[in-house]
Amino acid sequence: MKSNIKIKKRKSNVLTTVVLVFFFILTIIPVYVMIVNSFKTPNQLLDNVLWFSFPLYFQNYADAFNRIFPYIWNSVTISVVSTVGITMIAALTGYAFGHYDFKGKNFFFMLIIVNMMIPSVLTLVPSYLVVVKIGIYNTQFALLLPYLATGSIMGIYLVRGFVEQLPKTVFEAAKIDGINDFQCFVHIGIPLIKTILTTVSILALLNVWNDIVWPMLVLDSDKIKTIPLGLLEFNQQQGANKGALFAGYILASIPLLIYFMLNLRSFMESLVEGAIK
Amino acid sequence: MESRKNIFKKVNFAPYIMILPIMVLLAIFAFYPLALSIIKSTYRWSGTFDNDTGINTFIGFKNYVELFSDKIFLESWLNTLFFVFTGVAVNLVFPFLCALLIFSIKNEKTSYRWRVAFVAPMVVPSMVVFLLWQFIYDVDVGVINNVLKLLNLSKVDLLGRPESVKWAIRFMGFPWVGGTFLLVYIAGLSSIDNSLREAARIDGASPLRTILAIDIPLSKPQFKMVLTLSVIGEIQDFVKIQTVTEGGPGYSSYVPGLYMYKMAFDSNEYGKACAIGVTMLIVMLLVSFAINKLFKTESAD
Repeated sequence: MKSNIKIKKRKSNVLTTVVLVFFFILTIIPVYVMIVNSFKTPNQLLDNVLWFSFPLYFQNYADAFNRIFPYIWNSVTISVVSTVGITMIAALTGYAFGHYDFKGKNFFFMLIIVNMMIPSVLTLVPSYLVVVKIGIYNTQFALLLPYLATGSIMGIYLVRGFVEQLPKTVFEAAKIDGINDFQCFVHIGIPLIKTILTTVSILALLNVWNDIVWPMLVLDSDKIKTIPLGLLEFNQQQGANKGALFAGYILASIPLLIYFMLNLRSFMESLVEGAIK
Repeated sequence: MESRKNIFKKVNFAPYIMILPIMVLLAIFAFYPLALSIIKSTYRWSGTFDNDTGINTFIGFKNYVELFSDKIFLESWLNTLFFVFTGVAVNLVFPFLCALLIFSIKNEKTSYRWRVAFVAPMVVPSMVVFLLWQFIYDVDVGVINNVLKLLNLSKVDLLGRPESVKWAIRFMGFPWVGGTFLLVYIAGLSSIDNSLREAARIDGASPLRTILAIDIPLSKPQFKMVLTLSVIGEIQDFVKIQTVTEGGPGYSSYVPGLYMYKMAFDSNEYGKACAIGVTMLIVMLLVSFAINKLFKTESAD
């Protein structure tokens, strides 16, 4: 009897694995297509796109690297700077809302949070106008400043929630020591909220890294264009070597892949946290 | 004198200084644009941004009136309706199925590895994903047509025909299980009290019965969240469509966001573009409100 149940259980385990493997294979078909075709000459590509063609053509990677690297670099710099900025603003503002009681606190908080409800599409046109009017069109500031504004909202919400749960007594001691509010934030606040700041920074990075519409609108010169724009141009070029294009796709995926592998645990937790809150 | 000084001393300016940077940024890059787009939706505002050379006159609700007799605008909303319904359907079913399977794995390490496996493809930039799917559908060299050729079947142009283009766009991302929704469902399943499942098992309930009686009803908050996020996402998102079809063939994959984008940056009709944006905002607010009413979750945090 008991062994019967065990067999049944094992059977259902096998079935679970089979279905999951099936789902997984389907999920990574585009990735597979990208890898297989990144090693092909234009002629090999015409011949077949479903499996590797031999000999493998590595030159694609060299070509793609020269072509794509400047865009990758642009994306990396703007993402790093924006992420650091967003995290700092979220920390400072979230801490202020979580730690202090002040007049108008709820009003100001609502004023910030209500922006979560406003779709970015709606304000696309006027935001573009603002960027043109204040003279930052076609500069990195046209990305950075709006990212700092709208990208921090979620983080502020997360940090506030986190700070509110901290015991007040931790800060009482600091008050007695006679340090001012800002020193207290830097020396006591920040170390305590480090975990939530990791989450904030990962979510910010993902958003900035993947943004397409906004850079498309406000960046014009090749020198500062980000990776999605670079790939789009590369793709639209007539007679472009498609194999090199696929190699370029892979190169464009590597920075985030490295970051993901290095921060696996916090990455997974951040995604849940960002979605649930 | 003494008491006045006390009151003055009591007000701590530190929090105000701390929230100042974000308030300034939001004023410039969120509140002002929002106000402007609502106001300008009642203007005929076109040509250049410059007030001297462009047209910039108040016309009341004329933009809206024109939009509601505009065939492209109406068709784009019908298309959105398709994307919303099919998008909600796949996001409610597929990631949840996958979540149930992963959750049923008792070995903590194996279960974690599966989660990582399904999240990992997210590192591929979304632009790359769009372009890869475009290639998969490509009529000459694409993956699907290569497979059809192997099977001696004739070519199909899935993105190029009005009957199939919307389905082709929906099937981008098939089988729709990777990503955050999966993690949301798993988090929901993990938060359900295990003693409930234990009790059901002792009562002799089959695994399927347990899922129907416990897992699905108690995942209501997660379903509600996925529902809201998918609806809003589908209404807003137009980059995918812009990248793979540009709304074509004809207007058969047009959506309001794309129409707004083209209205502003191809036709330079900024006022009308703002009006499209405002209709999108209104629809999104109404839908979120309706979902909240329909799915009142008692223990919402």
